[in-house]
Amino acid sequence: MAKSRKEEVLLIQGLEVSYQTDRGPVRAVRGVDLSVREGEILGLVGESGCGKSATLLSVMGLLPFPGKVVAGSIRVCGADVLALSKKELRSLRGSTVAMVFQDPMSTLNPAHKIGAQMKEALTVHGLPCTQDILVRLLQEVGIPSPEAVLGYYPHQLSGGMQQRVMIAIALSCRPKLILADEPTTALDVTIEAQILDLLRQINRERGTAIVLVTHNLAVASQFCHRIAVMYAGQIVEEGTVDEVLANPLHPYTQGLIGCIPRFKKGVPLTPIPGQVADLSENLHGCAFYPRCPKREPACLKTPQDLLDTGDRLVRCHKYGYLDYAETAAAQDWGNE
Amino acid sequence: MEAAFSMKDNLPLVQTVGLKRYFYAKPGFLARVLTGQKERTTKAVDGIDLLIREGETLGLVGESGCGKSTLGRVIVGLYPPTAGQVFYEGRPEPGGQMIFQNPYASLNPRHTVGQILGFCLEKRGVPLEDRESESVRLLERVGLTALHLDQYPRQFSGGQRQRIGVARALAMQPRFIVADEPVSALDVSVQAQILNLLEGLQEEMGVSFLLISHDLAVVHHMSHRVAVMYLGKIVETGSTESLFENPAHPYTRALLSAIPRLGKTKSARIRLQGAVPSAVDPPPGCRFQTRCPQRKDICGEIEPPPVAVKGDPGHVVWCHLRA
Repeated sequence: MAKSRKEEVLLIQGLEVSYQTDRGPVRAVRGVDLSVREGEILGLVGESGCGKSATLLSVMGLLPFPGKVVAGSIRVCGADVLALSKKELRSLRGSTVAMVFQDPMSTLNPAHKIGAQMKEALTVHGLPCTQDILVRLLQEVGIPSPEAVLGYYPHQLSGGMQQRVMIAIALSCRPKLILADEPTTALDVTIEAQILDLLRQINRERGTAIVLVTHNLAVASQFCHRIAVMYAGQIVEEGTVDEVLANPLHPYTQGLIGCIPRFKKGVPLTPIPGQVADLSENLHGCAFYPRCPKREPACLKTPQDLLDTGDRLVRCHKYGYLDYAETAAAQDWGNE
Repeated sequence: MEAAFSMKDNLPLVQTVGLKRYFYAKPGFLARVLTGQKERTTKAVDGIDLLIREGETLGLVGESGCGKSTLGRVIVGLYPPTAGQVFYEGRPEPGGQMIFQNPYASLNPRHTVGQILGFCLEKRGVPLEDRESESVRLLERVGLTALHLDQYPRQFSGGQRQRIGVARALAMQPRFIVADEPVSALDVSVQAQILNLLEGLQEEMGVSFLLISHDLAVVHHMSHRVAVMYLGKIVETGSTESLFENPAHPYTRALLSAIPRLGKTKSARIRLQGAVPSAVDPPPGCRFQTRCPQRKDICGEIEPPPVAVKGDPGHVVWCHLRA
């Protein structure tokens, strides 16, 4: 994939997703702009309920029932996903953009053999699916004795192998973009490392762009080129991994880093007080206000836009006023 | 190794000797007759000697299915042991309280917080008129208030529920608590709140913890000593500093090198092949031999003996390579 200009494979602008519930609308995504270029790995980091999965699912047109995209546009390789018919969307899924889910146990069909499930993806897109092709696909993701595995049911494989099968299916139509929604959260740490190695190798060898959704900052720091930190349905900070983690600008990013045990004795954890914002309520001003250690009354008055600081995007009223170097997280980063 | 521990330190509070817990699965009549399936024995915990002193946190790490939760449950008496003995406060009986992983499943949804705590206080023998004030005291200790007494678990967030779980464990005034993945169901920012709460309890009341976790960063942060478990056996144990800085067992090393660390650039990694074998039919000799990058012939034949690791008197590894 040696192209001089890297084209944009995913462009999200002003995305808003809302779930209609009995208690009124829950605004899961409140204006997200994202772009991913060919060969890039973007990490979407945040706690549960921050809208990271809803963003991914909207790209695939897979938002579950009460959820709806209420504003914004999504372009995948130039195609406007929101304007596509169901049939066009179906041909886009799998062939141009593929998804790897969190729990391989529940995303593989337990009643069908691995071979049949792999075939389905290929036949739907009108691609040839001989035994040889399936075997090669399984080999590519590092599954030992692929001929035998084709005849297995999912329960006969371990969690790590199931996730490899999911990745093989996702790769089968050579997509340009892989959306990975917490692909290693259900796996053990040694298996997690194997799966991340595999995804990294796919990215390097084929230039496939990857969007990795994770709650684990450490995984993102090892794996991604760029990360976007989400809070309450918005991106609060976005930049290259090294910059964001070495010198976090948004108080929420700083807080997240301070929450993580760092393999250093005697460094106390500094939790973020309170709970994640309730998205069914109307949030005025900054959504992080109730938990922010640096809040001021002004933070509540107007919603804050993402500010471009040159190397980084930050959504904070106080950006530029404070001495951010004081955080312990920033100090000891990189000294390990 | 016990002799090395008792130098000047606190007394042992919990001790297990040759603890085993097997699970038996008997296939149905048809399966036995038609497919010839035999009774299967899962050796979840297979001969474990542990020692936890007063005011100490022992971290127990391992991958899923290695038996760490089963071990915790046998120690507090939720499962009877198949063989071996648990000593609690010097008596040959299990004891201690438990904090469970999933705060959504471990609290009865039909009981108010006051009732949940009330049951424990009744069991402890607190007279009826004192139970409410005692419950409030417990709630305040874990960062909740008297207003929460009449609420049901569903009215709380995950972090608050885990606080209730901690309060429930404290209601019995235990000196030892098994915390089985206490934060893995919680969000990162809430995890730190609960970890700090547990640390504070230990400082204040001197409770000992057996902290079961697959998250090595959490274990490193919380524990004085660490034991690494693989397929029902302890493969390495030692002080946290010694074990993390000088891991001796190939499995511990692979485990440590697999942890994604914040900001750490990609150093040399040891990648294990395959997954953990089944505990139904564990490999003979060393349990880790099927995945060990440094396997020798002897590993397939004889169970490795405990070997002391230089530098730390409590650091012991079960590995032929060190013998």
